[in-house]
Amino acid sequence: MLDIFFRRPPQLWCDGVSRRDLLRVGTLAPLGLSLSQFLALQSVQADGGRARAQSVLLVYLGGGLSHHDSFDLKPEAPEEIRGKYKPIATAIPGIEVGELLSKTAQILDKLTLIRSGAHNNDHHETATNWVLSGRFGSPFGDHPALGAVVAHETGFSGKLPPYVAIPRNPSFTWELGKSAYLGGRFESFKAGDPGAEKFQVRDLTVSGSSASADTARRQTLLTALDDLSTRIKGNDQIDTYDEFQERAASMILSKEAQTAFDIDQEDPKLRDEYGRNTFGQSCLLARRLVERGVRFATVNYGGWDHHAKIFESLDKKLPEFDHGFATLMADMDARGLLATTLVVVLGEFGRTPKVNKDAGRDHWGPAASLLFAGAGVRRGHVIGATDKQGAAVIGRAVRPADVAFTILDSLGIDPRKQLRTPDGRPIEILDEGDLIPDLIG
Amino acid sequence: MTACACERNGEVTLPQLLHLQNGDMVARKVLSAECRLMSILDKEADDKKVLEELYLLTLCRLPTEKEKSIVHQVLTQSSGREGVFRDVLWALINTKEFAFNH
Repeated sequence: MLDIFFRRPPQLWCDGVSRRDLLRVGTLAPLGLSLSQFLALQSVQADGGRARAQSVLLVYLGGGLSHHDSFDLKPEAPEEIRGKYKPIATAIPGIEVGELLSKTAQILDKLTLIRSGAHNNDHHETATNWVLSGRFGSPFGDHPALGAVVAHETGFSGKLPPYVAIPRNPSFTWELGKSAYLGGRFESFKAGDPGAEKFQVRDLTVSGSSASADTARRQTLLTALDDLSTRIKGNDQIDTYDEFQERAASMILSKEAQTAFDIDQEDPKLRDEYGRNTFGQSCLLARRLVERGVRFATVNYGGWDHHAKIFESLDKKLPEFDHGFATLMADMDARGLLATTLVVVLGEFGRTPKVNKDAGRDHWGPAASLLFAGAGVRRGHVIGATDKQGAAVIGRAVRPADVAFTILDSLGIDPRKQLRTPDGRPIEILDEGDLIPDLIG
Repeated sequence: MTACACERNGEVTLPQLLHLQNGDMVARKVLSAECRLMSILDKEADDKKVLEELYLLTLCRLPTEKEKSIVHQVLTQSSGREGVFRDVLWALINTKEFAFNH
């Protein structure tokens, strides 16, 4: 809907943007919860005392991390399967990972490594929406991503949006991990790239139209002149507009939101340790956000879709991941954040056991490695295994619904709770899945 | 529209409101020296006429008596006619009437 710059309408203002374009920002559809319903939902404490986690930090490795080259090496397999990396020892006795994960190897005793992630879909969009929502559906996202469900169930925490994507939602051709039938109110708030020079969240920092303005006078004028909601009662769009108008103003004018996103307040040395790149700084920003009450922060770290020359790419990408992730875990543990934050690392699938003719690996749903940490997750533990070729899971597979179930359950949200689509159809958050066995404890 | 319940368009989202309140586009409309507001202020000395112009430009109607008195009050309390009208224009662009009725 924010396609405001792509049209060239006849009536232009002096800056080349028409009034009609501006209004398109606020054009609204007749769907959704009423504000009172929303507030009622928000006021229901979701956890009922069962929650193990206050927040979730999801690192999403879009494209699909090769498990053979990272967390599930097969050194005994033929060369076309085992690839080029040597296994190295980790902080968990007897457990090895790929040599490019030397820092993560040292903090592996803080987390649980799951080697039995599996599903049966090899399509980026379908699998991404599946693993991010916990429900299988069309590639276009029939089911809300977990972050949107969490936003729906918990609401805002102070002035910060409950669901933040850093830098943005995953996308191959179209945006994935959206709020689906829950609606725009529960869409992720996109932070932008904290690895960029002079990073600022778009329209949040007081430098746009609020700079040097008499903000108090503005708000007074707005409140006095903007009386449509006193004339039209019970319209959901108008109520939503009112609510977000207030939230936007408080985000722009308050220290709380500004500080949460102000990564410059971090020690430069710590920023170096995370890595001065998009992924490293995204991890650091995610830590800042969950520390301040954001319920679901997603670090979207794509680019793992290595169909050709996989080792050349991984030579560069794995150390970047290793640096950022190992620092994140150590930093969060030192600050006590692992007590209240569930950290999850996953992609949409693993990659083919056999290296292909282009020296790449292709999509592989039946086996993938995942990491879980914090919020009661066992430390220094490994769940599941794959066969000699890393092609199939031996024993019980951890399915997308199990991952989603575990995440929701950690936050005290009932995974079987019925939500409603805009047309009133009841629909369970998850229609299958269980708590991942042997993970908590 | 399709029959798919996942298809929802045109909803109010938080970034939209941030953009309206604090974005560059509105800033240019309100602050730019070449913008419409400045040319109105240049040629029109009567504040009542300026307000009418701004209402016609944004909401396609004339201000009500109540709205006139609100702005009049702010004008008499503040120094700097230009600054007040910038804020009036900003407020008008941020009203729900602007977003929903036009």
